[in-house]
Amino acid sequence: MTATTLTPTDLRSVCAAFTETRGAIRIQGAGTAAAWAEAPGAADVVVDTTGLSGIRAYNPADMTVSVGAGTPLAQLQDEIARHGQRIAFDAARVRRGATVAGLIATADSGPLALGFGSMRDLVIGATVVLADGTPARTGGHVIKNVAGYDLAKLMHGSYGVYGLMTEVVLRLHPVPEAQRTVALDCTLHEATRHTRSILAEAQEPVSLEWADGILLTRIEGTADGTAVRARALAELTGGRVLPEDDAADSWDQHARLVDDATVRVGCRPSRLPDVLGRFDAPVAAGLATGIATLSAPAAYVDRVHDAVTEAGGTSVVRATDPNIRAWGQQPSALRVLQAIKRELDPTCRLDPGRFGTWLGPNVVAGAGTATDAGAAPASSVAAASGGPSPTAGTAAATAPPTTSPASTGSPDAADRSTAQQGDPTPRAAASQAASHVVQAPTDSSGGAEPADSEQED
Amino acid sequence: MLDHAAHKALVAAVGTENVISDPVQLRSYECDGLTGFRQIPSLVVLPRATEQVAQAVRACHRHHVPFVARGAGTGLSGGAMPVADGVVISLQRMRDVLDIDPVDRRAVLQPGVTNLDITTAAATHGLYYAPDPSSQQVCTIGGNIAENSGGAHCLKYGFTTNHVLSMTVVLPDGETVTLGSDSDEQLGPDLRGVVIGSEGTLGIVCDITVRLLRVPETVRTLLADFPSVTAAGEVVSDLIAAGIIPAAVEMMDNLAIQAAEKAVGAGYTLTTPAALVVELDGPEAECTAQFDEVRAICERHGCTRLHIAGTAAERAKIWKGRKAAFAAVGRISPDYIVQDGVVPRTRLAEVLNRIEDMGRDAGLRVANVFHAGDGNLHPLVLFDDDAGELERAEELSTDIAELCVELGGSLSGEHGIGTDKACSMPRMFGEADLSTMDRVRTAFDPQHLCNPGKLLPTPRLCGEQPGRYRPHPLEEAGVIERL
Repeated sequence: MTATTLTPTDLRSVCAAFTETRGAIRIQGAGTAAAWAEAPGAADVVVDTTGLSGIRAYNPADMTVSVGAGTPLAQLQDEIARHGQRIAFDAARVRRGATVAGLIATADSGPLALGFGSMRDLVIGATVVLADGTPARTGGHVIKNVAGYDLAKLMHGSYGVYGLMTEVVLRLHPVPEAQRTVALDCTLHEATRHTRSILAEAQEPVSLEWADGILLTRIEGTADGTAVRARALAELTGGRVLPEDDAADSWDQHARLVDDATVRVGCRPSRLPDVLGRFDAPVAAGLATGIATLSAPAAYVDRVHDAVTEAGGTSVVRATDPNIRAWGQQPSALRVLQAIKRELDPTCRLDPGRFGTWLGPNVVAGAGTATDAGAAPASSVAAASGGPSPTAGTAAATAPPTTSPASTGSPDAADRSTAQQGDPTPRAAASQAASHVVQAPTDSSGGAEPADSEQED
Repeated sequence: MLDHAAHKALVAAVGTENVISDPVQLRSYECDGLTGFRQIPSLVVLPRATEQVAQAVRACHRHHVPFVARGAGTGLSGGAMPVADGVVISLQRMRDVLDIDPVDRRAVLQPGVTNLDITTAAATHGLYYAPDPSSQQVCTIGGNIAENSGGAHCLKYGFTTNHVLSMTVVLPDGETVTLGSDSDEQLGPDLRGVVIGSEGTLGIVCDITVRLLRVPETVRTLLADFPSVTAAGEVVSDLIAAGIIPAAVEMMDNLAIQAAEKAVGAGYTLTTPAALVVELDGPEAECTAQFDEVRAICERHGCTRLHIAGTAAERAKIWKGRKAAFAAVGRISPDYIVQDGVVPRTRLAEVLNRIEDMGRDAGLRVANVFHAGDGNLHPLVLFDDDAGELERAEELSTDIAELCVELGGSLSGEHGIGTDKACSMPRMFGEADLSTMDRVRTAFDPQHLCNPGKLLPTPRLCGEQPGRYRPHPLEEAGVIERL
């Protein structure tokens, strides 16, 4: 089957890519995580986000930046570094060209998560296009903002099932004057003990990772201050303060270890060593955050899922293998995730197959009986008024009236309710609004990865 | 009035001893901290356990009774105002600290635990809970989650959403689920982050697990006077440009200083046009050097007096003056409205000038207290109700919030939208934005029973045409696009 690839370059053409095509849509960024979680199902249309790139608004004094969601984070870091600023985020695959939205959609994070959290903690606003072409904004351009629901959080970890991010606003941090890393060769068991004594001190590490036999502790601050603090940490643990180049090498090695991982896990930090100790696999472990990656052979991943679930934690695979479970335990609020899917994408056009049986068309479409009024999509008109949802719409089969200007004039405004996966005909070319859309047929049977997934090597 | 069956089901859910139906007692639940909006509820239930909350919500769901969750009632946007013919579910009797885990650095709390009690309970382990809204002695963690509360230290430490790991939530149909997990690694979309800050419209949060931080090694606090608000604002800009992220930067103008000083005598200079409170915290080795830099920046901008807190007591006194400022305004004016808006930090001077002009045009005084580091303003509109100034004051206050949006900011930085600003939401968000939020709300609450009428504009509250959408300034500049 041939899928059509669209590469929209602005909000308008993203909306057109959704409203003027039919069938299943797969959203694709740089392809650096295409194999993660559930393998995406077959798509009729691939929407490539890499055309949505570049800085849209940046005033260094406000310490916020607005960027096209398909911008590679590394590129963005380079641009803002000129102003002494950074996005305090360092997931391993940033080096391989991962996009801002891709990092959000996959809920990725790196060693700096101990000090600064993940993307969910850094995103302050977003523009999202829903499956019906509705462009919706959430948050804003200021760090402190509680107006309306924080729907950027809904996108975090969503793997594209709720909408496509076109633009993201991020909060920035100053590039620290100095970073220093203290290294200590030790076993996982010893590292656990050292982690506790390090955290009991007041040195405020921003990263604390055990990577296959070495405990790396990173601190940030002034040149003088970090020198004093690093010495104190080295004395405390019996470790050594690494020269700058060695520190960079050590963290690079850590990132490579994460790149090779087949499963990522999270649980209570104190339970993590026990879980990891059960598997003879290369490990990168955030002993203070409770988040780790393992490079276990595919055959062992199921057992990792079980061990983590038993410890009350969560786990997700980072390699495609149809024979292994993608996720460990099922989310407690699965019913809510399904209800949101019914509201935002009732015909399951976006990334069907992601989250497998949890959010698949069978569950979402057939769930009309699971909740009463919940199956009726709110009409946009009533929705804006905040009134009770209309009783007219009885099920997902009834298309909500749209007020989205994106579909004005579109001959198939109601297509989302009748979209057939068997009709891959893209209609973008017929529309003037879609003039920015570049079409290129792609052979999707050969694999979901786009050409640039070669960057992974 | 509740029908008999609904009343009976609610009493059965929590037990008669946990129900208030006496009309006089019900009156004390008619409003939250925003006293201008009042509505007496039909019934108040005060569950003692999560299961009772779930039972009460199930009863509401079955009998189609709207309900409003309420913590300490300190909210400033009418978010906990009852609904006509509805029930208030007060979490005030669920105030146990369930667990403090010093190894994994987390606390498990019932929703009625006060913000300050978390830190008190964690203190023996050298830990604390970072978000610290000014009302922290009274406000509850459940309310903090509803509003995604910040506080003076959120510039460095973030908001409630950055400190909650997981929570059990009673959904609007009475089912109990857990959102979030034991680590920041989540299973799929982050519903925890959607519910935090949703102002009680998506469910009732019960057991809550928060992150605790180690108490910083050092805290340095200074109070500096400046010849103008502009000069003080330049100090803040220079701090940021120097790569310093203070734990807090608070600014007060002369009117606010006069009020605070009259109330608590914290040692502020009565005649200074503006004052800054700057606090640094962290490892000693970092704080010392940075604090010297802060002093140098203050002096460069014509600081007329610089007072460094030498002891914990002196530090507490400086903060007492700052935190008392809201209530203290009552000393210089018979009535006042606290506003809450945000502008990009670089537009602080501009917004203050505009507010001054708007105040003059309205013939009203406006005192300013704000979190200068993140552009979060709290203009206090002073008025005299007896002199018939209320309406003018409300209008001015609303205009100030909407001005913040016009300057590229937000309607609210921490007080929330609630009842107060629902009708202003179309100034900040377009129809598609609001309808998307409502679709998410409908997914959680298809019957629209959970704190209805709050957060999003409704025809009942705002009329059929709740204000015209004004393009965002970035939109006008062609930076962002709306179709």
